[in-house]
Amino acid sequence: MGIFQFKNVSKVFGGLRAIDDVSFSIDQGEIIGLIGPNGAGKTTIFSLASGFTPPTSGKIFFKENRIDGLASDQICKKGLCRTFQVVKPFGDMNVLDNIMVGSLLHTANMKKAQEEALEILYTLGLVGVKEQMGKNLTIADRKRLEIARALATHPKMILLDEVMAGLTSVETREVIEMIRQIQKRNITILLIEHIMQAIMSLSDRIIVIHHGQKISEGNPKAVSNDEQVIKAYLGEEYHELT
Amino acid sequence: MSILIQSFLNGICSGSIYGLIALSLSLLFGVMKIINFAHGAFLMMAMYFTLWICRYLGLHPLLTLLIVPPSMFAVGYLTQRFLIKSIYEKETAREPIGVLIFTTGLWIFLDSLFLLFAGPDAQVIKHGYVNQTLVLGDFIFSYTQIFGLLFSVLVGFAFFLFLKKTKTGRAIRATGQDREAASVIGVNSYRIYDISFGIGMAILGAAGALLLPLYSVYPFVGDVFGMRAFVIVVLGGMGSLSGAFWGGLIIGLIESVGAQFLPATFTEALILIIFLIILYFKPSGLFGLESE
Amino acid sequence: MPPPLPREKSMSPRTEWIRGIIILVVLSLLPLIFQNPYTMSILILLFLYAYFALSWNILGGIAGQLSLGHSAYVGIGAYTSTVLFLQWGISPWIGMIVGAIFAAFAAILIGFPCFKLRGAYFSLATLAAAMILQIIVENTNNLLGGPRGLEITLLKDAPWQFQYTNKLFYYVIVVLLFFSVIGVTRWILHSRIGYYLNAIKNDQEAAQSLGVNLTRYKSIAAAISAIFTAIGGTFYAQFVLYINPEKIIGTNLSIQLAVMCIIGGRGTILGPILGAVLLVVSAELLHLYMGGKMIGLDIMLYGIILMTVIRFEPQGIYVLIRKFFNRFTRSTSPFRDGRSS
Repeated sequence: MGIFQFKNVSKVFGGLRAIDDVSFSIDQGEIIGLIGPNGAGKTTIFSLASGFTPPTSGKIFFKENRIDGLASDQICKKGLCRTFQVVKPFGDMNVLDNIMVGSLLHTANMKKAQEEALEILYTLGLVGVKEQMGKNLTIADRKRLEIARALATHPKMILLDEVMAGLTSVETREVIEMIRQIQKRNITILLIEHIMQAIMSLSDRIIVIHHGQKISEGNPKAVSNDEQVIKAYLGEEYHELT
Repeated sequence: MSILIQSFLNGICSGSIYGLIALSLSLLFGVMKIINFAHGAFLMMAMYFTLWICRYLGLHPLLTLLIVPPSMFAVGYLTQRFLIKSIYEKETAREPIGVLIFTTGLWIFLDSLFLLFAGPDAQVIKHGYVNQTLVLGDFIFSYTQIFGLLFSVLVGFAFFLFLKKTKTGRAIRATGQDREAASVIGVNSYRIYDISFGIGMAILGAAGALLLPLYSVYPFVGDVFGMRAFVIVVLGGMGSLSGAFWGGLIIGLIESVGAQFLPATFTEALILIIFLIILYFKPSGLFGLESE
Repeated sequence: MPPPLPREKSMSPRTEWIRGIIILVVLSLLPLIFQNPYTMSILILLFLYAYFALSWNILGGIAGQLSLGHSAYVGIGAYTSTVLFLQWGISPWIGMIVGAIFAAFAAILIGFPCFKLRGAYFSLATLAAAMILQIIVENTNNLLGGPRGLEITLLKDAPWQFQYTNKLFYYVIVVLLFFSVIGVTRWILHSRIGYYLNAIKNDQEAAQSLGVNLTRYKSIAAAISAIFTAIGGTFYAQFVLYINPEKIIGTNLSIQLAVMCIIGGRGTILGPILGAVLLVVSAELLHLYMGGKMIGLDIMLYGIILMTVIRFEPQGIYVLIRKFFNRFTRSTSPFRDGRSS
């Protein structure tokens, strides 16, 4: 079954079929890229997976247990954590405190939580802004913070939602490296990204969503050559980048 | 049985005015997404204006409908333009409670201002019109009730026509639905907000003018009606203008018919309890457009 | 020690002890300076209102949940101890504890449906809840005294029944209460609960995605806040020896409790104190200069101050003062960025 599975999941929003009978499964330790045109339903999949909204039908499994219908805090406790496309830092708390909120999930000891948070701070290159308020951070640092916070909860699987959007190419390369480091910790990663080069090089497998349906799945090369996918979306973009 | 029908009809009459009060609140919320805690206080203000115009100018209460709404429009427009706008602009999307707190301050300020100027006693209009009644079979209606219903419906209807047919009205609807998109086609959001607030207050003015003959006015009368307006807007669905009107009728009915079975203050509690129940089970209201 | 949550600088433990002792000394000397009963009363009210503001602060400031129905807890505290005393002769000290427990339950009960609501809806719901309670009390004449309220039998010197003629008795108690709520607030701010509540205040969706159970933590904050508020209610009842629904459970009081804290600066410790001092002092000054002539002038002043503060410094007077003092130090930002001094 793998560590994560969507089984015939559909989501209807007041007449609109946002997600239509989507099924896929992810194995432990994989990096899976989720791509598709804007509005295809990718973030909805994240919301379904992380408990922000329940599926209208279908089942979602994490570590072989059903998680559809659970609240997002419960799902996080089980080891599945997400980041948000529009980042949500705790504006009136400094970076260290932000990360500590994540660490406090598995320890009530403030000192221990702080130590762990500091460790993640160093790993993700946020030492310089340790004392800065969330609301004063640059976009790159906010994205990093978003990831750091999620990592602090010691997830077994993490959902990264367009963490590279709005970054310079240097910053993007740093994030790619960060993601590879996360994989080294044996954390499974599902990521949504529009930067084709990045997602193609990072992912073990790609899933393509269009109009709420899965239209293709497979390794990056196979997917980029898939007629359907090219027709739907990749088109010139990928060929331009290669 | 006829008592029941009488109270039913009474409920419709007062409910229509409540509907107007809620309508204006819903307009403010729908267009600007602001919660105006000073709503009841503005209603109280309108009622006092009506009272003083009748008393010092000797006008027939219904004629105040020509004066009070426009004055309240000005009050609303100026309030939004000079007071609320600056707070609104400072709002961070995170927790838009600045306006809420500000209007709370405005609420207590207005209440005590009128306490100072008008005194704490309840006052009523002294005019023959207030006592005229119409008898239809078993039922008695006061003229104030009949005209209250008539003009509420008229004002509500006029407002809906305005929204649908006029350029400004459509601009208001557009801004309410999608502010950014509206600005792309040339709608100046802030001007729309100023106008909307003004119109909201004008409608409230009409409601006040129609309400005064039915109720006495005192500085804190706004508290009850303000709270009720919120109950109605939630009942009818935040963002639904017609819902606000229907909600008003329902609350008017509950109040009127309920009074036959429960002591008056308990109907007040009943309305509040219904409020909490709706908030819990169906926060989007009966006709709600927003999903939770 | 973990770095403090933003807004207040922390000090080294020794500086804190010294500061604490100085404050204690000053406080013990105050009643000797202000011996006449009138000023003693003002002093007691000052501490009581600061205490109330700090209690509200736990839910409204730290957790960011704007409760506009907190007078309900004042009422539960005051009425529980009073009724137990009048009907069954139970000491108000015990009644105080019972009232606090009731208030905690009420907070959780009200919270359960209300915490799911967004910002303003939550405030409205709490407002409605307090109104309902007021109506119930006003309509229960035999046991709860109805709109006329209840008078507590004057016992002169009866410390075990929470009464004494010398106001010093009340002064000591209210100062103890004041310090206890400060102590609990500080403990919260430096514990996991505080971090979670602050996270909820900043962005509850993000907090939830990090594993924070929103309802549970909001309920904890609400319960603690309610307990302290209710205890204050009992104190007030025993100090004034008369309670009625309008004063104790009324909307006016609810708004005052919230406004004091908001004007002063939510989430901090000094903020609510400042807010309370400002409001009590201005109310008394107005009373002195205007006599009873202009009722409502003090409330009008609250309204004006509230609007002005929100307009120019939404975070409260405390922040305004800090910004002012920071002009004289070299830092350019309003806070020292959470750095420990």
